[in-house]
Amino acid sequence: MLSGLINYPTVLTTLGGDKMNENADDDALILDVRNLSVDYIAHGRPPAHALEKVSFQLRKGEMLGIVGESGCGKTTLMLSLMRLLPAAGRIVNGEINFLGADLLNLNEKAMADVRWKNIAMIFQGAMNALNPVRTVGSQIAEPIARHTMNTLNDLHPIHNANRNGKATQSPNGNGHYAGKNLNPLRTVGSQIAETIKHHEAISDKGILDRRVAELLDLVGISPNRRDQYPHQYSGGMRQRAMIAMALACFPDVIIADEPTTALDVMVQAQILELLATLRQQLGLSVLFVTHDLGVVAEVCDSVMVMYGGVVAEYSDVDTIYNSPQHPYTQELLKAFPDVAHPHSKLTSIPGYPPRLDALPAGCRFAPRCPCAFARCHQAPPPLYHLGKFHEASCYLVEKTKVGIQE
Amino acid sequence: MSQATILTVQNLRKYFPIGNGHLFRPSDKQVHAVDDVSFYLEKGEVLAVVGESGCGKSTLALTLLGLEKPTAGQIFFDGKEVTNLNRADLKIMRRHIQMIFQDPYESLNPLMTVGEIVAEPLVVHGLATRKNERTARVQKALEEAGLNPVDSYINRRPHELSGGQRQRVVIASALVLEPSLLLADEPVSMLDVSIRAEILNLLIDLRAKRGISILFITHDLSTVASFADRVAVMYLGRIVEIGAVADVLQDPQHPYTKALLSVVPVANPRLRHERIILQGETPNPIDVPTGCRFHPRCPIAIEACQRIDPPFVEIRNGQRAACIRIGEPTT
Repeated sequence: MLSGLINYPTVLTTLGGDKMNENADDDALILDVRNLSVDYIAHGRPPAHALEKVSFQLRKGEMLGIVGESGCGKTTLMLSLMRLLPAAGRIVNGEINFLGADLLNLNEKAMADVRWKNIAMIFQGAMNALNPVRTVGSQIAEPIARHTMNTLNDLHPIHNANRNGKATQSPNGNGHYAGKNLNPLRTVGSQIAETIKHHEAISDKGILDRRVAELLDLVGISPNRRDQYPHQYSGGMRQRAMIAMALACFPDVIIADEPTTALDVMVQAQILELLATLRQQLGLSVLFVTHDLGVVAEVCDSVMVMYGGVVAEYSDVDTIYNSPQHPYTQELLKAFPDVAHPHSKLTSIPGYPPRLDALPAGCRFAPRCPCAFARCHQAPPPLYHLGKFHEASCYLVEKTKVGIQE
Repeated sequence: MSQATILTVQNLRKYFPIGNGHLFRPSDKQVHAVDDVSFYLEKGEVLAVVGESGCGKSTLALTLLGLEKPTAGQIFFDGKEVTNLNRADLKIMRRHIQMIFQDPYESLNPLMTVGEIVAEPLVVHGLATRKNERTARVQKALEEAGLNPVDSYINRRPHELSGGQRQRVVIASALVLEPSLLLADEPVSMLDVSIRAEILNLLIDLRAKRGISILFITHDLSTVASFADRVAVMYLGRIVEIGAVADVLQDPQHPYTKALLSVVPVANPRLRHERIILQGETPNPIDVPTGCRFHPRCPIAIEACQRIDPPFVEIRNGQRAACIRIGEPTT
């Protein structure tokens, strides 16, 4: 086991040696996405600009909410971070700096090692993401087997002081399964089934078993339920199992895609509490993607509101909810029912998000915006800086701006 | 039962036998899906039934529609008993009670046009047989469901519509029979927040314009706040608290209602508050706990709760809750 230490291929350090120094002043910065733009290319049609100049930062232990309606680019953004865009998707511009290295410069083999080991994902719809014909325990063991651990220290995150250092966070170069993507169009379950044959690659079954039991315990499932099948689990427990799978390799970043949308409010509260506890215990950074503003207000530190593939507003959670500047943020908040004020009339936002292959010439929200004026229809507004940590892309805030993003 | 009551349910029970027994010695265990439920619904009123998955709220709706035969109890619709109707009478009753299902992506036939989907209930019930009459009814229903201009929707198929538009088509095909009662089973839980508001507002308008009564089934207390008149909270097949929305939401009495209310996400980080998170999930309704069925998860349960099945306690103008600890001085 210990020989793995020597074999550490330093993918991140070799590729991003210089960049790392740039961020030396901000040690907590884990993910720094700059000007990310993604197009979808279809034959004989103009490219659809699914993402345009999206920038955000994620720090250690931070939970960032990414909010917007269906079709606003949330999913494209997440898939870009994992470099799992469907074949028609192209990252046309930007950087995804992860711990100092640009993920867009990694080769496919190195990227495959980053996935799940460094950046893991909790998928929407816990009902469908597990393989029904395999026990939950064996499915949790799968990612551990795939990204074979190098040191005994890796076995327990809390006792593992080294994980704060950058060197040990480098993805390991175990090439057995390299080049094999997680396909976003298929369930995790079916893909996991495919790799079952690799299980024998784990030399020490005892260690693997212990890890699975530990992980189940961590998410509040009794380890003696490891040999059960997903249908024997309730919806909330399946979501817990999904979280255990995401945690299997103790990643730095977890992308949670609508993790509670299909669940009852009480189970949702349980899962949110679990995520908050895990974040504290393990120092996880979480990207929380949802359309539910209430959930974001409960758990996130910062919020990025997206509309039509661009950032509408980005700030800390208090600013977004208590002094939102972008009309889209304001309208979204008005559409959210409030238990404290029964019988208050809800406002809906008329119309639908724009089609990405037929974007309006000006601001993408202008056709639905209650405050739109002539200029909004002519050219898209830049992202204005309104304070130390507050950005909004709307002409209405031009007078109060302190700067413009280049 | 007053003149203004459209639906009265008395001591309704629906038990499902479970098939794990021997072929000739069937198991005597039963799922107590709905267990002694009584309530009424006035004309033009919106009553929300709230509870977690497995509390029996969907079985309640199916039993009201006659899709499940009740094990015991009585259902009165518009002054007449409809508990055990024969097929022909059931069909007539269902003209007046229509259901809106949860998933607008799966409840529409992808091969039919919007016009055909909305006309189908008329065909099934043999109503409006003349072609222009039928077209007129379909158009009116689509207009009422907010699909304007009707001509641009009537020939489309479901895949050409957004989630919100599909749910409007589902609502239009319920409205085309001009029912007096709508059973809405989680009609907005699959929709985005902005579209949710749109559909809820549509239901509010329908009630205002047509005086239609709505039984609104949901697990989300926040949608209840915006438009129901009264709310019934169900737990494990039983109503544990019922009353006017303002009373129940502002001064909940039952510990289950309090917990449910505390976990509703509030869209303001300054209002983050302590949540009463109940551990585990609703126990299975086969082996219902003794005494108060909520006691194994109840944060304030005392020894007596294991023995006493709590009766309803009247709080104020119609608000009732079933808990033996109500009225005790709070610590």
